[in-house]
Amino acid sequence: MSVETRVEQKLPQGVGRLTPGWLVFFAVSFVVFVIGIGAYSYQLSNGLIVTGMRSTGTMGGATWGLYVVMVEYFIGVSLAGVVLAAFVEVFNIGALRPVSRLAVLLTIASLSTGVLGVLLDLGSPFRGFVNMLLYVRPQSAFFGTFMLVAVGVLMTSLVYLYLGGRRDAATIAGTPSGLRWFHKLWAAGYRDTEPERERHRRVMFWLSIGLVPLVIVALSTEGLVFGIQVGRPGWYGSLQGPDFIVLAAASGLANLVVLTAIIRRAVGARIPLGHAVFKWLGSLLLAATAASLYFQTVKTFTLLYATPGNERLIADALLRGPYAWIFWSSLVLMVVAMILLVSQAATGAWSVPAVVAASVAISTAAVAERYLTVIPSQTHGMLLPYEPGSYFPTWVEFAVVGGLFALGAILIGGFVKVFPIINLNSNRREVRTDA
Amino acid sequence: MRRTGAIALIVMGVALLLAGYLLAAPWGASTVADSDPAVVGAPTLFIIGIVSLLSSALFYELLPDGR
Amino acid sequence: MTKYAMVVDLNRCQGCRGCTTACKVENNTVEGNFWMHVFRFEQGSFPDTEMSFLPRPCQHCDNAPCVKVCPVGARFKREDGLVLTDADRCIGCRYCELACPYGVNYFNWQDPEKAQYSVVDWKDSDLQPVTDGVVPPYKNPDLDELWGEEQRRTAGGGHAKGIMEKCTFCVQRVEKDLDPACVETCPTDALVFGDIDDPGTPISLYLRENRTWQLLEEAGTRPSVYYVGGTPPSSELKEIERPKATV
Repeated sequence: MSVETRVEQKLPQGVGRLTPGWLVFFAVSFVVFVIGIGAYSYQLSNGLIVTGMRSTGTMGGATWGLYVVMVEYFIGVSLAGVVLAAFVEVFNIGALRPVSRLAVLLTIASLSTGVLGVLLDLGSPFRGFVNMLLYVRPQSAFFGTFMLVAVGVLMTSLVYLYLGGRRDAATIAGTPSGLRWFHKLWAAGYRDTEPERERHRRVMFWLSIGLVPLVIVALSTEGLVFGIQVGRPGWYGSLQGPDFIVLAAASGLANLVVLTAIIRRAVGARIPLGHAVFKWLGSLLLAATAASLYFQTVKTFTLLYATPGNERLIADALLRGPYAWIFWSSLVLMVVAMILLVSQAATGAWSVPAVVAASVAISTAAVAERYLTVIPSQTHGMLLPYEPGSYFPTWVEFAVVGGLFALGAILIGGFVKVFPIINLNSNRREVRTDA
Repeated sequence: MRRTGAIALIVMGVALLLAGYLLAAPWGASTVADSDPAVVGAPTLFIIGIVSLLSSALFYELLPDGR
Repeated sequence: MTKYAMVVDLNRCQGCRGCTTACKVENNTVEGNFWMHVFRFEQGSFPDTEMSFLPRPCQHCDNAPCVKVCPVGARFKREDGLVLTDADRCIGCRYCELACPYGVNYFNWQDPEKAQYSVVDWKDSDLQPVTDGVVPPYKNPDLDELWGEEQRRTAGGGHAKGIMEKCTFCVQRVEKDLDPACVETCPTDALVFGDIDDPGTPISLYLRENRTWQLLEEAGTRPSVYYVGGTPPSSELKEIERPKATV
């Protein structure tokens, strides 16, 4: 297989060839991104007044809105990709090896958008960037977001992507194309000798071993941002960290399934993305969704038994109040996704459209869940008897968030045209190991 | 050389991480009054520590053969 | 060592909101921001209703959750007990607002010129001859000064867009040995301010002679504001009206 790849005169997987479909996709993403930049410029010059956010208490608003909801969602999505790639490396899961680069890329794209989202939400973003370098305090839960997530996980994922792609870069660097310089640069002298392979295996193993705890710790701090707040009913609790991780795993895997399906359709049948990949991803998604539903059930039951204090106000707002439609819709979506996945697992007949449908449901439910974590405790979670508040995002927030999604799409869409997204050497290692 | 360099980068990275963390957090302060890092810019040390740790992987793998 | 605190005597408060007004004038706060808010509650049903009041300044907690969560040390607690915001350090993440159980933090959602007295465009060229360039009508120059040992801009500054602010116990007055504006204004002397480490001050005397309680004691924040009389507000209480001024 590797020999075939080498003698090919065209770059594999459509790299370097811009199809009409891709151009339309890229143009649309770019336009949405530019609209997002426009909306943010408007926000920057007028202040956050152009959003639907307002101070809690006497002003009756929510001081964190859609931006923080989406930051939580994006950072959550980033968990699954790189962790999956690490597991593939450590446990040598051959069936998932083809998607491991896509998984890491998903992590990088969603982390980039998530971290950018944090900056966009700040009242003074430029000062925020500088003060982060000068003063950021480890005692604040934001240390996790700024240092561990934005710097640690993102940079590790980039190194992971780079080192993991060197071998493929060397493989295609021999193919004449306008991108040859880039592939040679990426390969950085890699010649695929046995000592090089051994070194690579060693580095990736230890990088993977270090990466998984880093990601878990870093992303748990996203849950702790809320979990350590004694003064905010609905937030305080030790479950917030683990709950964040579990939903993150489910939403990340769901996004990976959708991306894999898109790549499979776009790149064609000549790539090793058969049903086996979807069976693996579907099974993992099933496990993560089941765990997430379990957490959800535990949290709901706890709410039902809340004492008639302020926790009860949150329970009422969620279960029968203004947020009930979001709460119940997200629950229904999760249950529908569960049914779809369990029925496939039970029969052993995995269908790509069904796994994708379940993934879309889970991903949508995850956005709703993040919304329900962030917003209700601000509008209804005051310990002093302020009147309940309300929050609805403005067009600026929707446009900026649309811009973030578009940025993610541009990063992933751009990458697939300069580098093979599916590992070219997926099967090589297996052969070596078996021999 | 390869192994020594990588280990040196890891040791430096861990040292910088620890230094950055400890200097950024005013440990031992009895009240919440001490909210500034002991050394302004200490968080940057933490970031350099992460970079150093990751460079060890790059160094180990990218250094050409025969070194 | 000096340790500042405030006593709010609910037996004396008649809900006039003079303190709220004095605070706004002294600190020049923008529209919709109430560093000192007075809850007006109603209990019972008509005609057997009873009103009660609860002034709510920042509690200047000894175990301040806002200080703990601030990612960059912009919110800090001084040795003398004042919890202040450094207007030059704050990045506008609004985490302190969410950590505070009392709802005392106010974010500056827009430029102060636009947020303040927004019915009038004070930069209008037709208005300049009338105001002689003094806009808005009153701007306390002390707010822009650096205060305390730390020499930080903690009195609210220019209420710049994109940063957080809250009650400072009028640090600019305290530094001049004056009472905060709300205390100075209160017509019924329901507010008492001073050093509780000095047993001879009126506030220490007040604390010795009266039973006091603190707002949301169960949250463990150890507030520096003590209430005399009345009862802690329950979630059953309803505010009579919400402040109309919003942004």
